[in-house]
Amino acid sequence: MRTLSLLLLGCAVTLLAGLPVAQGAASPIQVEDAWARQAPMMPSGGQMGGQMGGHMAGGTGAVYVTLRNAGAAPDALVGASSAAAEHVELHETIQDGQVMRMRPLAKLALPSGGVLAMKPGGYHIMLLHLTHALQAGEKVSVTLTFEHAAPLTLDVPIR
Amino acid sequence: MRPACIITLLLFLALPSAAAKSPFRTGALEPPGPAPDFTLRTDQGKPVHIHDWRGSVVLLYFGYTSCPDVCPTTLAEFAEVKHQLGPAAERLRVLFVTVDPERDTPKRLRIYTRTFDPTFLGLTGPRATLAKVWKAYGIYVQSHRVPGSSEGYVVDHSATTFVIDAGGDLRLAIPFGTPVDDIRHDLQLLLAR
Repeated sequence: MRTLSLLLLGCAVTLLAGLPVAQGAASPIQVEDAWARQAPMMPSGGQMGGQMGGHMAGGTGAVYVTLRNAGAAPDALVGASSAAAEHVELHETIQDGQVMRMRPLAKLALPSGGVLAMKPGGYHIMLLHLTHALQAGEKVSVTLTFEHAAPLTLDVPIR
Repeated sequence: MRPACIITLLLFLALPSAAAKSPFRTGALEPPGPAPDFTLRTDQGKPVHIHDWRGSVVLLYFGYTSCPDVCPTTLAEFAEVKHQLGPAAERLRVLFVTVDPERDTPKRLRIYTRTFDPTFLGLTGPRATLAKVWKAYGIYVQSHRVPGSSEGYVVDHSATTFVIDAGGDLRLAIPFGTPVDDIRHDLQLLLAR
């Protein structure tokens, strides 16, 4: 009975954390957590912003995932995509005293046995030019691509 | 020993004991002083001054609406704090001052802040006016082009939230990443006064 409860709890946790919907049985990359921050649809930014090449129509969003590389070989997260955004980038927020600096990253290393934990104020997957609002309580589909492992598509809960 | 050394030594000894006496868990500003005033416009176009919120406890945060990580995290935490405070939060105001006035139109500020709470308010103004406000509060703002990103540019900025009490004095500087429980605790103290 206790085993069954634990099993059910485990399933519930997995479902809540964003179950990989297209995970190959052999993928060494395990998704331990995944969530997205709610984000509104936004109109284009002001004129000057447009001239500077950053009008940001659609608004921006962030997805946070925790990945474990259970395989014997090192891997890396090299990109992500989503129908909810025109562009998806890997970003890092760096805290420099009280100043927060955000920079894009080409890839995020996943050493064998290592855990990559994204979190607010740190690594995140940035959704740019959203195609629809990210509503709390709903889910957003995000596909992660790796240097070696097969891509993973996650249904990420929004909160 | 030179007098300057003695003063430094005394300060060193006094600081930890003063900190221990503070009832606040976040960054208490001692002694409290008047919050620097400003004239900005709300995201609905109304001119406002910081003293317009006398009688309320104000959370003053500086950010921008294309910011996907730090700014929404902060606003979501404030929404959570407000929820936890319940009826006491009626005298709490959250102001979001833009650090990206060219892209942050009033409409964008309105949509962005209201996503987190219907009472949160965006503030903007001409860059020259905003720059004086940033400086008065010690907020670092630097736009930074991002090669290879479709974002165009990001804005590096201080993520400290200032808390102004009902009497208009600056009381707390809350760093990014401060636990919600600590923020709620300190606001409860200020709202009870």
